[in-house]
Amino acid sequence: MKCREVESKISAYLDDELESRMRESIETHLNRCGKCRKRVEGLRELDALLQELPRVHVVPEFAEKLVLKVRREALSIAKSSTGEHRFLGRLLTLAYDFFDLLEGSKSPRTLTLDEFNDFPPLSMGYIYCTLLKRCGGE
Amino acid sequence: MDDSELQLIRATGKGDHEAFEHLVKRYQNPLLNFVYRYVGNRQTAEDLTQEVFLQVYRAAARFEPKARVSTWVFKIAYNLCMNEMKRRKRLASYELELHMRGEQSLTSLSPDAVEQFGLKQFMMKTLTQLPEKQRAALLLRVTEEFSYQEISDVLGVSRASVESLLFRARERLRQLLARDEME
Repeated sequence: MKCREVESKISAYLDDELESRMRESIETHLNRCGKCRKRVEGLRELDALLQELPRVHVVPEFAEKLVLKVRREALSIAKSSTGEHRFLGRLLTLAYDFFDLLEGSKSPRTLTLDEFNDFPPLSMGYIYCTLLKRCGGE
Repeated sequence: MDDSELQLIRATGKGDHEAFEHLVKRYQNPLLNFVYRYVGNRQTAEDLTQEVFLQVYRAAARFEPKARVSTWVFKIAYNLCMNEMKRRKRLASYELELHMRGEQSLTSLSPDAVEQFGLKQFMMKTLTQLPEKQRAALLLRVTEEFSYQEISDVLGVSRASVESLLFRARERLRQLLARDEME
């Protein structure tokens, strides 16, 4: 094996990512080539330097804060979807009421609601029943 | 595949916050270090690490057990780091800075330690001069001890490319350090 071939495989050799036959060939070469041996040693030192780089640590409450953030996010999604449903529900009710108004007192649903005439003033129910009465009166 | 990690991811996907917290505690420091060495800035590293976990939480339900949890988490981190570097490059005043805040102050160290501190600081700076894929491959291999196959999964390149990236990264780093010694 020549120095040039060893050079191209030197990284995989250092990382123990070579097949055993290739590894043995490189080791045989390194035993008799001081230049390549020196190179391998230099790269090992480089790796050691990288491994010794300062390690940083997260703040102690990092995980807890993150979980809190995620909980809030989940809660706000749940709230917004509830709000959406509520809004859609109101929209649907209004649509039903509108069609009921158009149909006047013929609709059985209108007659049933007409029995409840105790809505708070200016509430949708109050307006609805007032309108119903007017329609029914004519 | 680590079964306990898979269970944690599955539980997280179902909204289990306790499982998510376990996952965060398992990966928080390795991820922070990877990101810190990649971007060279402590504050940015903390922000990005937090963002990695938020993405993990949001995507946990879609996690496919074909991948290892560790490579999946680091892949998210790598993509975010890449985006951060692109964002920085877009800025006209792009400059790689090195913040060693939170580390020991130089005045409290012995002369040997100061020299050692300077060397490490220099290594961090030199590392940020490597092309991005080379840097990521080197960090994953040397500091996180990922196998070539795992690195190939994180970077989305072939195993042969990983070998080549690592070879070039080490060569480049060696040249940069040697050049500094000459100067």
